[in-house]
Amino acid sequence: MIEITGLKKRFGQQEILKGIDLTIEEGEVIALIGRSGCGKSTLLRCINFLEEYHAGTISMDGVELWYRCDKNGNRVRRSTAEIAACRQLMGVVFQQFNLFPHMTALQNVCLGPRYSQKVKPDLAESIGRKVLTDVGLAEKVDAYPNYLSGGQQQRVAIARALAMRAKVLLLDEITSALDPQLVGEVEDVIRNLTHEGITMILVTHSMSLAREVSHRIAFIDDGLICEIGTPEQVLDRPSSPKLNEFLSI
Amino acid sequence: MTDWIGKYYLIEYIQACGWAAVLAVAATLGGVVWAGALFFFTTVFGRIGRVAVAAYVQIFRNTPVLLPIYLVYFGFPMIGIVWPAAVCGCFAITLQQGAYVSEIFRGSYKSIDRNLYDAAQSIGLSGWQIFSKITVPQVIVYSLPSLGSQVVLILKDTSLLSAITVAELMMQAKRTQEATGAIYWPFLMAAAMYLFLTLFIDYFFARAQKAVRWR
Repeated sequence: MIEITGLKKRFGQQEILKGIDLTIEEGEVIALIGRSGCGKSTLLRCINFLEEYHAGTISMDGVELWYRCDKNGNRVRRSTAEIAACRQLMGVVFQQFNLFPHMTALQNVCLGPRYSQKVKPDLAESIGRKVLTDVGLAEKVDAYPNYLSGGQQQRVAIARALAMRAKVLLLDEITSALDPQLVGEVEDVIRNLTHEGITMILVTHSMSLAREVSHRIAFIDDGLICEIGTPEQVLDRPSSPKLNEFLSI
Repeated sequence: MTDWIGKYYLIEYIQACGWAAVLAVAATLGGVVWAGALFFFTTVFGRIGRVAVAAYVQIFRNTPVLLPIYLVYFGFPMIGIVWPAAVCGCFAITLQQGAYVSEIFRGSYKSIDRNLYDAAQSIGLSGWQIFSKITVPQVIVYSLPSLGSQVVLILKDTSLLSAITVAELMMQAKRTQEATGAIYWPFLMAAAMYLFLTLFIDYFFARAQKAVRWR
């Protein structure tokens, strides 16, 4: 479904991603693990084009996203309208929730359907109410983010991504900014989503969550996929010394 | 009773106070709209927009407001634009306050969490939608406290329009002083009315801030 080939990204002189190749099947849940600064979050941001990348391709269902070739064969950015359209194929949930503080939970969730997908207001609202109910926040539709707990805010953020009815969900360390006792409620939402067969790419520091929900785990080290396989292969029988060292911390 | 009203020029003072309020409201609306436009240029036209607006802001912030007032009032007729003195005055204050208020907006814009823009992009909003639905509502709310004190300054700036024959409060005070020979009370009455107007402005902005439910 998503095919990433030769993805390279640098910040200034420093190369963060050094040629990532990764194919993700429809309905697959894949966890990206690795040390801080290894490039896993950058990879996720590149997939949604929140970061530009310098080489390589990201395709979905055979169509290249974000860049195209012009008639001289040069690699050029797609138009902003095309980029906005591609972004609707994916929902992103961020570590810091990033809810719009001046909007209620429902307004946050409806914004994408209503304005970028041009869904009619009443339909957008019913979508919004449904996804908020799905994440267990039916009573909080009219609450502003500042009046919600971290766990509730993150669930609203997941609902906002789901409301786009995207094919893929990108989750960037979504429990890292939460108090330990709030992690569970957010992880429960993710567990429920895995039963619905939605494709997910999650960056996480929680090996237990990665083991539980993902079909495959990719260990990223120094801008490359160092090891990839089922949770059992990667977590129980790591073959590379680097992964061994990472897991033993 | 009527003697008393006549003796202290009460009707004239209230009229002049009304004029000061109208001038302040007009200059505030003009200043805020112009500041909004300047702020929009900086966010949309990138580097060129930022440099041009910064230059404009420096010029108007570092010159006394009497300067644009005289330039507009005496200068515009020479290029064929003849406006009433009050309009000239409001226009001049608008030009200067646009510079000040755009700086307030810029400060508020900087206090918006940058990560919100990642979220806005990720749900596929266009640049204009992000500006109008994410940036502007937050900039306005974050600007309210500073805007309140700026409106007080605008009200006080309107007193300078007496220099170009606008019949506002200071003009009334001076006329009363000349007509009666009294020194203190004509000016103290103007002071009381300015104080009344500024207290109203403070109250209005305090209410506006309380009306924001999301903070």
